[in-house]
Amino acid sequence: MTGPPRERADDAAVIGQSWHEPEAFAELYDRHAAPIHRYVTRRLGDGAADDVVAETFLAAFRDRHRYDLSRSDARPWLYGIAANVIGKQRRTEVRMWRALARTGTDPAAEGHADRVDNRVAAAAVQRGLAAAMAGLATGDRDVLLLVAWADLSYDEVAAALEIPVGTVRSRLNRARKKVREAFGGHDPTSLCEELLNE
Amino acid sequence: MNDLDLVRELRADVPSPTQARLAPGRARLLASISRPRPRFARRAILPIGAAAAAAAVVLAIASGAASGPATRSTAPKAPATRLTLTAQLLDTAAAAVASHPAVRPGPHQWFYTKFVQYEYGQPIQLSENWETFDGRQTAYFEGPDRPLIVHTGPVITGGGPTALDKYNANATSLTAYNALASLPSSPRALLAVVARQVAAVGAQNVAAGSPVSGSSPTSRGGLEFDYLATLLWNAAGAAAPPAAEAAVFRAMATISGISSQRGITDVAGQPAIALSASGGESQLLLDPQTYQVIGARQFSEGQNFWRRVAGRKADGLHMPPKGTLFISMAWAQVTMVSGPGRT
Repeated sequence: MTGPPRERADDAAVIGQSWHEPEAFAELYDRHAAPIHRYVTRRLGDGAADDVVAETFLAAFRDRHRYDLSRSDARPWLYGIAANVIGKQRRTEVRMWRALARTGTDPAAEGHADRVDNRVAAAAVQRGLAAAMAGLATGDRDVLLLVAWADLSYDEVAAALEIPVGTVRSRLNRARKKVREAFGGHDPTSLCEELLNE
Repeated sequence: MNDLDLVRELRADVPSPTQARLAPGRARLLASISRPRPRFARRAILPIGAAAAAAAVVLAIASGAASGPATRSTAPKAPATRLTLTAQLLDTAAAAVASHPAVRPGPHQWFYTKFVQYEYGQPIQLSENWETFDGRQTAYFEGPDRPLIVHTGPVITGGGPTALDKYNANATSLTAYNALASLPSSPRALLAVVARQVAAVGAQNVAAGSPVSGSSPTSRGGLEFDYLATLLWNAAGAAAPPAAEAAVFRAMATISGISSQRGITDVAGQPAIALSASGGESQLLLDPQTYQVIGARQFSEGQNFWRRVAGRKADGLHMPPKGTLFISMAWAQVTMVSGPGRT
């Protein structure tokens, strides 16, 4: 979960520059496309990521004049746009989580996972988590995964999804509760260790 | 390890994409950047001017243009022409475009466009692009002596279930053509359709989609004009159905607050007539002979703009003085061609 480095004081400058020199916007792609691509792949699978990322940056480019230049780090904005694009495919996403929960085989892993994970226990934990993911409301899943996968702070998630920070907290609490409930209220860590030690 | 850590580990073996993997997405972005048409959802909100001091903008047009672009530094203070004259002009325009032959291009027909764009404080930019009528394929040269990049996008359909989706889908030449062709011919019925569409799509979204207006219109007439100007604009890079275009002009003649200005020169040096529903601040430009849409331009509203859109945050944001030419765009050429790279 290596978040991109934080010294991004100049995303705003790049976007501001792109207001009158549109080609400057390509710099934003070079900076952020890779982690966003990985994030999208984790949510929708390898097959959808290229298009979703391209669409995200096209939408961001079209919307660049609305960017709040007082925000130096563009990641929340970009992840927010990506969330909208991902949201259009939420049925696909839920279908994949359900498939993983049911079969233990992750459709989202196609294309990159050519090794067979022989740790059945890990797969069992994954299946539990996948069931929880499938059961989350889209907004709750967005918050949970922006925190867990995109390493955004609560404030950044709030900015990305244009919701109050309080809502971020409540959504995250709800999502985490459902994740824990997926393990029957057990501490999922102990379950994980139990299974791994079998 | 807690529940959040477990989520963190989920699908954590997904690798970072390679540069090669990201390259096509970058190319798509660059294609979009080089494509001049501010299509749907693009309100050309005003970049921050480097300085508000420049009272007159000296435009140095790219070599080749016969005559200079409009170098005026102030917009007309009032509609230059009385309403009735504008109505007459639009009537003439309607008759002129209605006499054009109706040729509906095939979806894969290529069009070549040469587009000239000026933004305040920036040099004039000339761009050349190729695009199919259905908008699926676009092509451009990345630079002098660089290969032609041809991009094929997904099939563009009629948009999603919402009115906004459908409105946004009217962004390719083909979908704009179809949207125009679907309008009723009587001005009253046409504006009723527009009013329903504006209500369904949302006034803010119409404003945001307009390439003509620099800021959100505050009047019904302004919204109607923006909506129709956007459809004409989106079709202007290829072809518009003549009868529908004529109907739009006749409907525009009845829009409250419509005004016109003759005898201007656009940024590509072409003579033009301007239509506006904002007192001349934002203008749609027509060819005075053929009455085809050939461009658009906007004049600065001055600091009022920032006060309105940014409120208290307006401090430190500078706009050039009110009336300064701010954005000017023109199609110098639109030609049906046999393929990408051909002119």
